[in-house]
Amino acid sequence: MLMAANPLTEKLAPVLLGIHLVALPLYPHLPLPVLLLTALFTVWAWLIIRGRLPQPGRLVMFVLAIAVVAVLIQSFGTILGQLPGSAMLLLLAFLKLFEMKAVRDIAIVIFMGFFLVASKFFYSQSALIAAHVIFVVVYLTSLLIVFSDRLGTTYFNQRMQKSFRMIMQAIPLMLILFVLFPRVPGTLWGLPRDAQSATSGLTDEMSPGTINRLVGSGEVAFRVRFDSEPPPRSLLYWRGLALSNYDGRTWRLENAPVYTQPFVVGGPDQASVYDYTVMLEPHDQHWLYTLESTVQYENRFVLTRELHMVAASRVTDVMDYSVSSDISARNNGLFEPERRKNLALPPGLNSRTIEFAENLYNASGRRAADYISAVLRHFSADRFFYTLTPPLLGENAMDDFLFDTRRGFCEHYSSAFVYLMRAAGIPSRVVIGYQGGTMHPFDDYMIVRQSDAHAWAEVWLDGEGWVRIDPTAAVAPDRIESGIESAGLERELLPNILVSDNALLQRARFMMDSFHDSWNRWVVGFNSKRQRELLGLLGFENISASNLVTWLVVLMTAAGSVIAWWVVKKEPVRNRDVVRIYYDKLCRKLERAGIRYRSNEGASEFIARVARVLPSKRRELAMITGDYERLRYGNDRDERRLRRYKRAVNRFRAR
Amino acid sequence: MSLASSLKFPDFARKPGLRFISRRSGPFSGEVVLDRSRVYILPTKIGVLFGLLLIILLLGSVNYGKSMGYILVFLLAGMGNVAMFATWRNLAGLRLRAGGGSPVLCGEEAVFAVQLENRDQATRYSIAISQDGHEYDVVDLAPDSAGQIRFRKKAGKRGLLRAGRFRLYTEFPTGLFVAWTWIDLSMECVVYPRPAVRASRPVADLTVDGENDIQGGGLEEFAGLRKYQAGDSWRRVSWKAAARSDQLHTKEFAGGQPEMQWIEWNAIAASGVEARLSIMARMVMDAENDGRRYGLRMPGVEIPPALGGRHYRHCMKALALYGSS
Repeated sequence: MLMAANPLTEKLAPVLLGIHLVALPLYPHLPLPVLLLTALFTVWAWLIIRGRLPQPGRLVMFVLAIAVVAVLIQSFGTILGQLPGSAMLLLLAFLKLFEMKAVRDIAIVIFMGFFLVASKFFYSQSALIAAHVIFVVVYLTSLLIVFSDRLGTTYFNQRMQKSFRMIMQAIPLMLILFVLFPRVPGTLWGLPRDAQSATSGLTDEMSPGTINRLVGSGEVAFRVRFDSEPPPRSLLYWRGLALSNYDGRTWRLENAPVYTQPFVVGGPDQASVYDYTVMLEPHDQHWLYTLESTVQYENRFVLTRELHMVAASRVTDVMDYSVSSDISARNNGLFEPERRKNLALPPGLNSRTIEFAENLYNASGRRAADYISAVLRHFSADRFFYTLTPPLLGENAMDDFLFDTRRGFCEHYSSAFVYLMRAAGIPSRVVIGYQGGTMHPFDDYMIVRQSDAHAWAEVWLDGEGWVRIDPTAAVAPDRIESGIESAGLERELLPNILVSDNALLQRARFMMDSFHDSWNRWVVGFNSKRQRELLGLLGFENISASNLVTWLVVLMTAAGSVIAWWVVKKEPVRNRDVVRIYYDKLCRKLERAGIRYRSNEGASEFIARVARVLPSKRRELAMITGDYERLRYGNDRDERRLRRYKRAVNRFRAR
Repeated sequence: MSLASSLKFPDFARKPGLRFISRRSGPFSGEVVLDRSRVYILPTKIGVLFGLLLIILLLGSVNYGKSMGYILVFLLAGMGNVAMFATWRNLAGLRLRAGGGSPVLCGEEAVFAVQLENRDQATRYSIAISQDGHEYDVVDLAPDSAGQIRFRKKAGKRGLLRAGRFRLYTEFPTGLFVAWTWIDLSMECVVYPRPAVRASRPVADLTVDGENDIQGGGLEEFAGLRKYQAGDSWRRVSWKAAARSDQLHTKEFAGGQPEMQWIEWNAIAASGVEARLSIMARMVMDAENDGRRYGLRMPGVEIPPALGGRHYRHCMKALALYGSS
């Protein structure tokens, strides 16, 4: 392979840059070996472009291909799947760059780039990613221009401008297609197994520190639109999961068999029923958050016996769902196995707690309601503190918390409460989810953040069913009434958006949130339901699928024609061509006399030829031609000469 | 643009065989403007691959339900649409005129030039020309300017070589589409008969004078330089002039021995028309190079003796076109 002789390699620097620009959002997700290989390939490609290294031969390419597969299998265990696939595409793009033989190969790399861009969508579809997509499409289109510019006369700025213009002209068609293209629910070939998204939020376990860890995050967990007035804040309990299994430190799920149904009894009147729609940010889990207690829900979900609302697959994308909840409803079912499950305590631990529970229960006359009040009173006495920085607990966590440290966050209090209930023979379990929510100051939805994450308890009372008790309300009632920023917690640990007193910045933050909400609803979450909503807004009610397709075709044709006109229209001939226009006029006059201008003959030959036919015109023509040449090829524009020239042409008669 | 009609018509890259194309492509004399009816457009192989890419991306978006996927596909589709018009525009509106075709010897390649004029305010990039599937040249045209694009054709026989139909095309700006046209500008050039290796009989009084480097006797005076013609003797080329400029010039000599020669058809001992013409061509060339005045006498043609470029061309043309109507 000759080193300097391949002019193709000089064109490759922008392509190399393009690969990196495209893959940039993927880098945080890629494992280190893949990134190192990418860096190595980049350096190698750069050296090839500069002519310091030859393009790799067949054998080396083969070895590289093996190396790529090896690295992928080492990092992911497989080459199948969404992330390994993207990594492979990236590395193969470099290999293609190495073995570039024809200009055609640049186009292949560009197309691989488009696929790579798309692969990011499994992780995020935010507005930032959308901006990146537009930029990448403009850049890759400019690379296509490189590819089709045979003489290499265009330069970078020119290409980017031209490309930008083309993409802007493409946007109208894109919008029409996006709005009108039918959205088909369901999949054609299935979902990727390993597609993850940004995961923050609650998992299916709770231990000391779980909820604590989330308080510092101002990230939005979900947004809620209520059909009418929302319930008061102290009743805004967003149920996630009920955890029954305790091993002395961690609470875990122990669900009833799948075929069991919940038994929910509604409240006395409609006033306690609230209808709302949740827009949930992806949290890579199966369950969804609903206000306690769910009474009506979409039939693509399942409501379990523990009143978890569960989706068929993990939530990896923004998801919206509508629910009806009755805050006075009760979950009234308890089988014997469930009772036993919710009384179980790890053996041999926390002897002091158990003794205390028995004493207090006896002192309350062995009545559940009185016992519960007594426990809550115990918590609300001054000696217990609500803090984000509690001391660590030992093996007898309950004993340490209740009698020694007495400092904790909601996970400690709920945990301790349930323990005390179980110790007295009252079935009880921990519930994790979110509590509260902030109404957006100038938009019409409620924001529930990660910092609103909460843990509370529920107890089984005979005759009443599962009743929610929140021990945090006893220790720090402001937390429940007014939100976590009012609970007297360490302010530096809370998210900025809650504690900031910069009004301008706050307004900006909320505006951003509005934008994210709109983006979620109208772009990312644009499903067939939303499409019908939009079309309804535009005046097309109840449009059938075939009508939709018709409109799509009609609008595309119309837009296509407008675009065609826009792209193709000729710019008007500018004034400096007036010399040319007049010479054309002269030539037309001569044509009528049968003398046609030949472009391969010089001026003098032309005049001579004309003179043979029209001898009397020889001098006139010579003058006109002389003026023409001076005006056309001379440097300064002589106005008098121009006028004389124009007049002479006008006066000329080819007879 | 007749997009509909051109889309239905597949691209036979070599010879256009269909009549409606033939009608539109000429032959023309004078200026031809590439307007809607003459510019065709279709996707290239890369364009088809691009379409495949879009289909895959669309299917992926539908399967995974990704709105951003839809945005990407539709944006690219829109770009493809714009690219189609932009590629078409790069060619449409171009003005063509026949350029010259200099005479060549039989067996050489004739070069035909097409004069292009770009009257638009936008540059036209990467306009290429081809014939019979073989690409010859690529040019850019600045706004409001003229240029030339050339292609070559092998001159197999003597006579008049018609340039015929050529294909002008472009894939700029994205390489996804190719816009092309077939045009015949009625260009032709004269193909001189291949000169025989030796003349049929030696010329009298030939001496080789090493000093003066002139064949033939008598004094001749240097009369100036003329542009080099195909077939001129290398001994007559002025190398000093060639060193100064980029072109070759041949020394012309005037006066001296007014030796005259009639190159006669009847006097050639050769069988067959072509052989005879071949020998006569050699004789004309030699006479011209040596500076001897020569005349031509053939059935139907008599050219009085003279010397010089124009006379040479006149004679060679007569030889070339002998026998054609």
